[in-house]
Amino acid sequence: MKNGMEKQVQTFIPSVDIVETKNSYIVKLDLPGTSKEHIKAQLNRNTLIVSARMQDYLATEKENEQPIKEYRREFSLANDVDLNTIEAQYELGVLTITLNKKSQSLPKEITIS
Amino acid sequence: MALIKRNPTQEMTRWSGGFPMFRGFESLRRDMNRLFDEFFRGDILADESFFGRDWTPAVDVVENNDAYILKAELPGISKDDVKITLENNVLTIRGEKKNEMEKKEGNFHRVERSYGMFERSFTIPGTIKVNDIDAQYKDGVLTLTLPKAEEAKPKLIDVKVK
Repeated sequence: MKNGMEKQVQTFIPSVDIVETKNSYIVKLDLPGTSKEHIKAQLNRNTLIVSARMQDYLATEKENEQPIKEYRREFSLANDVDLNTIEAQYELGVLTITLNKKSQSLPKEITIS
Repeated sequence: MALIKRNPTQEMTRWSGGFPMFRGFESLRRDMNRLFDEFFRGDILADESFFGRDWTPAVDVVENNDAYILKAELPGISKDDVKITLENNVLTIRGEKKNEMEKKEGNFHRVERSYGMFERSFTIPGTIKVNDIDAQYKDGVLTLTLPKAEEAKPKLIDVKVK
């Protein structure tokens, strides 16, 4: 920031894979070039907002002219997600979020007597 | 793929000698079989891009006074799955991104990330110190630093003003 002028923010939409298993939803986001410390995952009611500041890996002398680069993506979570047990892990530039299903919404087998 | 290859000769003996009206069917059937065979084990499968197996990682190249810096985004790929070679001034990055999700059973709601083999080549200028090329992999980004030879670095020349 220079002379109180706000830096421009350039937003990138990361690619995502979502797979649903019996007990959970697994969300994988490609976030290359950031770090655990720069990733923010926020929960706003049923909306999960993932944002991450990209490291300015091309920083040169002209760094100050570069806009801030940021990943950002929002997800509306299904009703059966247990909002209290969300886990996230960042490895090799990929953020993996595990959304466990509430136990009462798991498929149950009903025995016929 | 659990597809049993059809045996066209066997099919033909079963159908031959039948009523003349079946001949048309027979040739149609043969064509269909051929089409099936080609589809399931022929050129289409060999061409892996048909299933989106090939992808191109995004690359940035920047130059400063001392070096060219090349950054390739390779999220989800371990260091050991990337190979970098230099041959006749052509720098090649190749590797494979394995699909760890494929093994998981479940419903796929979204598959946007790329999987499979990738390869990118770059012709580098002859003014690179080839033996000093440095490669680092961190957080899904591969960084190659190609230092410039002394003679390629910008020089300051004092222009005397008379």
